[in-house]
Amino acid sequence: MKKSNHKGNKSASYESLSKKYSDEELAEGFVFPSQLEGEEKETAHREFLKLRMELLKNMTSEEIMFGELTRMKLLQNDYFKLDTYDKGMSFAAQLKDYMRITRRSQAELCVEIGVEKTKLSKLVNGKIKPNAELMFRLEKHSQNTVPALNWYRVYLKDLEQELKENTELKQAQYKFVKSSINLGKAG
Amino acid sequence: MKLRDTTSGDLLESTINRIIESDYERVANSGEYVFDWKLERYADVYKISLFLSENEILGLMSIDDYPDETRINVNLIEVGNANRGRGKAIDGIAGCLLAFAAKISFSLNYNGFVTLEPKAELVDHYRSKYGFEELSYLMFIEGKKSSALINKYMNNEEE
Repeated sequence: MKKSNHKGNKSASYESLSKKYSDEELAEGFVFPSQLEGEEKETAHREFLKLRMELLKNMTSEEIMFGELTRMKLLQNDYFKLDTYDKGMSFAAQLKDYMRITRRSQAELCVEIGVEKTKLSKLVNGKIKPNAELMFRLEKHSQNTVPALNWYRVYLKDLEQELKENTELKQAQYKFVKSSINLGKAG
Repeated sequence: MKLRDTTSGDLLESTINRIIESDYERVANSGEYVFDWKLERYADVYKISLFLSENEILGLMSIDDYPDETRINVNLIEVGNANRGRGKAIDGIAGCLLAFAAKISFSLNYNGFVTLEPKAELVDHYRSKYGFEELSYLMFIEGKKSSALINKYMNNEEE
């Protein structure tokens, strides 16, 4: 990885900027570029890597789960901003993913959130629609890591797609409309 | 992502995007930045702007992905001159950029692990303001602290 070198730029140094700003203000305005170089940097980096690998090795299953659930929530948040529909982000698919991340079988999740086995099976297979009660239970189950509102928005995207694809219903309902408003040339 | 108008206290919606080539010249000629951002071309550089005024760059961040170390490193952040120090018009710009780096880290399955190399004088401030901890010559944030940073600066929730 090629590294930039800002060292020759005196006006961009901490020493120069600290004449104008307090340290608190500098921390709110800057992260300064790396100062270490050559062997000094290599030695420091070796020490960092050792500690980093130790941190990774000592990560608990709870910490890993939290990271994966947070990732799930953030991906959902990005998905909500898109105009497109993704089957992998459907309520059923996300529920399956939730069970994978939390390492819960259907039977285990049923017991933990108080939902009947057959109902949960139908939910993960997209055979029935989820309700708000289930979304609140999933929120509590994830200790609020994936909020009920996220589950609701995932479901809304499913509904949106269902509406877009339901041309049969659309045509059938259009027939009931005897006349439309007049928008002239604007319509 | 929400910034705050320091005069009115109003929240301002913002947006973060990858910098484009023509931005480097604009940044250099704006008089708002002391660093030569063209030197960061090799890295991933992001700009933060107000949602309703995307042409005005409020701050910049250069990051690198270290997949073998499962971390995102913040190489450089600079908030534009108008929003630094006591007279700043908008608050929370650097926080939003750091939260964005944490979000990228989560999306890459790094558990929100983000590092930066602090100036010794700023260590306490990065700790108290953003929750960073020291690890050898770097400071880092991860897990619940990274998530809290995202909630605070990107979702505008209280910690």
